[in-house]
Amino acid sequence: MVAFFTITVGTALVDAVWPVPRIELLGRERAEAARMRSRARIADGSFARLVEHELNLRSRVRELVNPPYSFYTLTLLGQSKYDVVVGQESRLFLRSRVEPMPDMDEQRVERAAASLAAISRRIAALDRRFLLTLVPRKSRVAEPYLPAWAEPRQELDAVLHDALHERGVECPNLLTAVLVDGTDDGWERLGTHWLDASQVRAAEAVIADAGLLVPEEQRTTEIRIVDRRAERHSDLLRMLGLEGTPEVLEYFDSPTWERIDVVRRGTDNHMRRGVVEEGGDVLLYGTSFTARMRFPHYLAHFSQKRVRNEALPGKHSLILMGRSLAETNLDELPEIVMLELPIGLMFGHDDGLGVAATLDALKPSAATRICDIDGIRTTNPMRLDVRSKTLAILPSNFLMRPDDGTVGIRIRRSACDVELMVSAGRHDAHGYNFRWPGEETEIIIPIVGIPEDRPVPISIRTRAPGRSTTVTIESLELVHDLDPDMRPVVVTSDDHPRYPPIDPTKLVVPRHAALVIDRPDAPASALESGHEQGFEIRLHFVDGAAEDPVSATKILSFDAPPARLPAFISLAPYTGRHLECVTVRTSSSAGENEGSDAVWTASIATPRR
Amino acid sequence: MVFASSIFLYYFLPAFLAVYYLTPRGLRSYTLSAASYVFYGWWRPDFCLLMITSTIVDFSAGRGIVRAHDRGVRGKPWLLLSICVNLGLLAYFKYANFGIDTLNHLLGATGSEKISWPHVVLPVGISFYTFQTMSYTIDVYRGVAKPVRGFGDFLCYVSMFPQLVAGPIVRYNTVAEQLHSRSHTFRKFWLGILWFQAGLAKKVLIADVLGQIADRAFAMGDPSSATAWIGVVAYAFQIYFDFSGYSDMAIGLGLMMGFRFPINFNAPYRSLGITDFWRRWHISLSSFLRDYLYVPLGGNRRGPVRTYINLALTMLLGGLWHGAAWTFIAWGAYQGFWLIVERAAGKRTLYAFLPKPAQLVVTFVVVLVGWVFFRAASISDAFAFLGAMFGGGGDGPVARLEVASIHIVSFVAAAIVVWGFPTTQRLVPRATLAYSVVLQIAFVLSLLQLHFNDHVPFLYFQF
Repeated sequence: MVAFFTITVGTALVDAVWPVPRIELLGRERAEAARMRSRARIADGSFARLVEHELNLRSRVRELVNPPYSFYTLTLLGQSKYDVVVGQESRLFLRSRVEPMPDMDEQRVERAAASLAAISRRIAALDRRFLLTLVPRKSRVAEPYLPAWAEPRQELDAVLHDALHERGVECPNLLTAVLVDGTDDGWERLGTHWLDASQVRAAEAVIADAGLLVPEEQRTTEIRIVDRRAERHSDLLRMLGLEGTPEVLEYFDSPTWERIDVVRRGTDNHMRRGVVEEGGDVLLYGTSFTARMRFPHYLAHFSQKRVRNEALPGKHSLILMGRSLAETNLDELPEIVMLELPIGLMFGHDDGLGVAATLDALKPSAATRICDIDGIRTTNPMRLDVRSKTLAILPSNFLMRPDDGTVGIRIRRSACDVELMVSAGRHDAHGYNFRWPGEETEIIIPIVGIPEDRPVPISIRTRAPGRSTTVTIESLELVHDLDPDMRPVVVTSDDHPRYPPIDPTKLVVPRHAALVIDRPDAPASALESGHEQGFEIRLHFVDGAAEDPVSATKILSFDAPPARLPAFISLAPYTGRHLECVTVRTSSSAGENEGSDAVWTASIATPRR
Repeated sequence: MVFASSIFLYYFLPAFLAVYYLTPRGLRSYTLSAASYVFYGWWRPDFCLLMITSTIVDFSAGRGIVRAHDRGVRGKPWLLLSICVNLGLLAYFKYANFGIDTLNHLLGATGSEKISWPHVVLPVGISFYTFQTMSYTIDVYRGVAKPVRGFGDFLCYVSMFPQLVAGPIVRYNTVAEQLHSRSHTFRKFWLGILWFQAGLAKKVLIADVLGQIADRAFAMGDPSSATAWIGVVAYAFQIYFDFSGYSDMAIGLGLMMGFRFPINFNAPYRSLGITDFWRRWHISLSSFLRDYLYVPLGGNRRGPVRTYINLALTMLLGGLWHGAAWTFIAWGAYQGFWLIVERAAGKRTLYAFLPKPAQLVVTFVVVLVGWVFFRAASISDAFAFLGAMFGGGGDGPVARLEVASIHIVSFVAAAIVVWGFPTTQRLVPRATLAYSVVLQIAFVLSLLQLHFNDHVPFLYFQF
């Protein structure tokens, strides 16, 4: 009994009286931590989790007993923490990066590329350049040292780069650059991050690829190896609960590494004004691969530009970018916006959220189309409680998806000061849940990652139990980012002949195309008269060989014409087929075609490249 | 809050025990109730509303039944109210998602529009406390239990944190007297600590370690035969040590507060048949199902066929109680099948002619096959895994399991405890010096392991 209470109460007392000092955070990290603390609520358990996290983080006993215990379990019992994998020759890997990711496939990669391309286009529309630095995965750099069973799906990295290049995103492939002498010497053996040598090479490659490389003789700075030291601060080592003591480093056979600094040419003085806190020529967002690294300094060195480093450790660099841009006057953006993003983090939900936040912050460009979604089911104002209320259900293959140019769903509401939760998709691995802060009247739900082969319900509820509120939903819209040069296909009306004179070359439905239905001669109010009841779009295809064509018609029937125009309909199911023409038919209570002398236009839109 | 966490072990438990023993005896149940609500609501305070609802309804129903008895009637409406509210809560919070998903699956197959449905979050422990409160009203209705003296006692009975979220299911009858008069002795407290330490060690040093192997094996799409067998044995040990560890901790905490809770496990992997297994595994649930479902259905009093039907129904519902998924129903059906087979065979069981060690092995293998359904994500996954176990294995090598020395040590320790060691209920009351010392060492190792790995939730929290 004495032992029991000595251990339990003793631990509590030691931790309370002599806690591990709180890490002094600076800048954006500090603001982020404060934001997390201010958002912690008792009602949803986030406060409890925060308390437990703080207790563990600041536990002196834990700090004292963990390293020796971890080391002995590792050396004697071969036990490492579950999240860390010990590979060949004691290389450490993050488990989530070497195990097969079920959500990671080519489709997902294409969507991620499309989203980044949309960001790139928006920034280009502001007359700024967007440079993307995709940090290679450690599992690729240190591939020979992976455990035999690892399945990190390395081939997707090339797919991602190809997809980005195809869409015109400036993004060099850094793999060759970071392989110092073809080895993983440029990477932490016991951590996830790159070492200075790789950062220097990567920075040079990025700057050179962007055509910004200043010749060496014109630079006012130079890089210099200033120190050789053992690796001590690797994150995976810390995740194992170990310290970089000589005993540990000897066990892991950890080599020394070179610290490379940027100094003023011909002096030992550090570069000044290369990395700045305000202004700057390059605005850099990134993760831990940038935040506490010298990568920004190397960028400044090779480009001789001032780099404003807004990077933050963690995996939300896209969210950070969106949030930061939202607080920025876009007219004052530096000439270059750069995003550092590790490839391994490209495919999570957080990135989808970040894409939406960024696009929202960058405001719709001229090429962006916003169209209402028909079918808001809830009457306004509506009373909300913790039970979800469905706003709309997007049917399978409805309109377009991210790889077709759709980037999100925007919901607008009247101000109500109550935090809401918005759900998009089913409550499974493919669904999203978003906090909608009370002070914000609109939210964009990204649809990156929501599969297109199933209906997508959009629903809303309050967060806190027992709290209900009245909300007025003002609009529910799809946010598109389409090529403005729509290729006209055919102009029809109900009484036009079935085969109007169109381009004699039959049109092959391009990949990711959408059919855009419009009625330019009619004001929107005329469409809402309720006069017309049925609406039908016929797609006439000619399949088979040229000498033996086979006609086929696909009829898309709707209860009524679209309430808002233009309307978008995905042609994804018909990719590659020869589309001969499109006819649009309406019917009214008075009979088919009666009273429908308006001319409808149908054209095909493809995503912007 | 979970037992195997820093906040519970270093802060909540010592603080609670201090306050509890400083409270006058007559008020200790109130202290326990208040602490239990803090414990339960720590992560989700809103779920306390459900528990208090269930408490109020069943307390009122119990009162209503007593008043009806006083008037010479049975008070059936009150019983129905209790059952409807408790089963209604269970139906909504535990089974609604499953029901709607199944319905939508059928609607999807017929091309009909699916039903939109918000995901309902399962409140931790709802399966346990609803069963406990129902047992009270049913026992009062049957006249086998005296009604509770006051609301405070009942509040304490429903909410007491040691067994609140993962059992054992303590029937009202068991603790009725203890709620208002229980002894607090030094020896009880000491034994409570030993029970608790034994449970924590089972959970942290064996279940969590072997759980890593089980998780990897079941996550593998194409395990080889050897991989699958190692995986399912690891899972069998994991679920036993996890759940029996929790039960031991609950019993230990109960003793620290003067309560004596019933044991929940009695060396189940030493069973010589499935019928025997169910006398030893999750005893509080199996006896609950026996007394409140199997016997009211007619038990074995209406002929063999009806007995088999009753067995099948009881085990199907027992399976469904564990979780809203077809895999649990399949597991229940599988258990029911073996119970029926054994009852039909009588003394001439299929393997009665074998020597006892062989009977034990056969029973263990039968149980292992059942655990595959219990653990797999879907029925098809379960059959694929069984296929791998019985010869249709894939390429997933044993190396993928990343078996380290610590896993081998845990495997060996688990096997010794399961087959070669007296049970906790036999060892703790004797409390020899050697055993006490071993437990102190295990306790320290458990805490170090907890610091090392953070806490891993108990498996039975999800039920």
